[in-house]
Amino acid sequence: MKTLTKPALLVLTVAFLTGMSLWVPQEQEDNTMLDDMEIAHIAYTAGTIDISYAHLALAFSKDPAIREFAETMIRDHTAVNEQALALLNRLSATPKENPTSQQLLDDADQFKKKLVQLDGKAFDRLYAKNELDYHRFVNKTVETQFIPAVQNQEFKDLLRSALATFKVHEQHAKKINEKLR
Amino acid sequence: MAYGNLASLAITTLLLVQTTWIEDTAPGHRSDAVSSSNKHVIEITAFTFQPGYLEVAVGDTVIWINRDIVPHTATAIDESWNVPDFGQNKKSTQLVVQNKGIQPYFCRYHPSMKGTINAKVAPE
Repeated sequence: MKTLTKPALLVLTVAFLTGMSLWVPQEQEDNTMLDDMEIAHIAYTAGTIDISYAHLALAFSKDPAIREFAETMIRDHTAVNEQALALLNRLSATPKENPTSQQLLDDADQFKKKLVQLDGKAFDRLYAKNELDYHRFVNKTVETQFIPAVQNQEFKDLLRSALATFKVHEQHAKKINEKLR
Repeated sequence: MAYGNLASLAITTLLLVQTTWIEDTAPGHRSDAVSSSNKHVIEITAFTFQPGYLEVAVGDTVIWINRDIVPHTATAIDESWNVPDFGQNKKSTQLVVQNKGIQPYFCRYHPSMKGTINAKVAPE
């Protein structure tokens, strides 16, 4: 696998909005080089994090719209990640752990600790808001940084298909947020 | 109510409940493999049913081919019928239409995906 032609680094920061702690990943240009396998690891990790949020939603929420959305997140992100693994197997390639993946996981752990302190509408609202913010962030990163940078064509195509999926998730999350207002 | 009307109502009800689903789990079906005039293909690409509107005759077969990388469903808006999860990556499912009328449907997993089947009675 080749390295990125355009360097990019994701830096995660903690945002505090309306008195509630909300972990919103933000992106920032840097000179760190990420190769395809590091990007694969970040993308796969981002998917598993959203699946873990969805499992919490199924455990805590009674709202049918939230539960249906969570089930879709589990189904779709699992499907995408399985196809990513199948591609990696075909290529005999192994995703590389990296600081960005680890930071994503650490921030997700912090967010989940906050989320499980809530219940009812408060839980639903925070889960839904985070889903919208998270998908916006991931979609922008995949579209503007990962897809242009990835060298392997099959991996690039998979990311494009995944992006189409995640954009539908973003719109779905937006509608749920509007209903919860 | 006249007996004729009752019979008509009974037949209509029967048509509505006798929708038959035929699962085809074999991957790789392509639209050009369908040659019979009473078969219709709806392809799912980028979260869109194509064509979005389809006129068929009662008794025709509708085949959905999913070219997306995630599963979808085809579910009547009024939930009178449901083609459950039919997989991804060119997997297909088919339906023999037995109920007439305009039948809007959507993907239960991705509610923004919508389509319509208009089934008319086939000429004798």
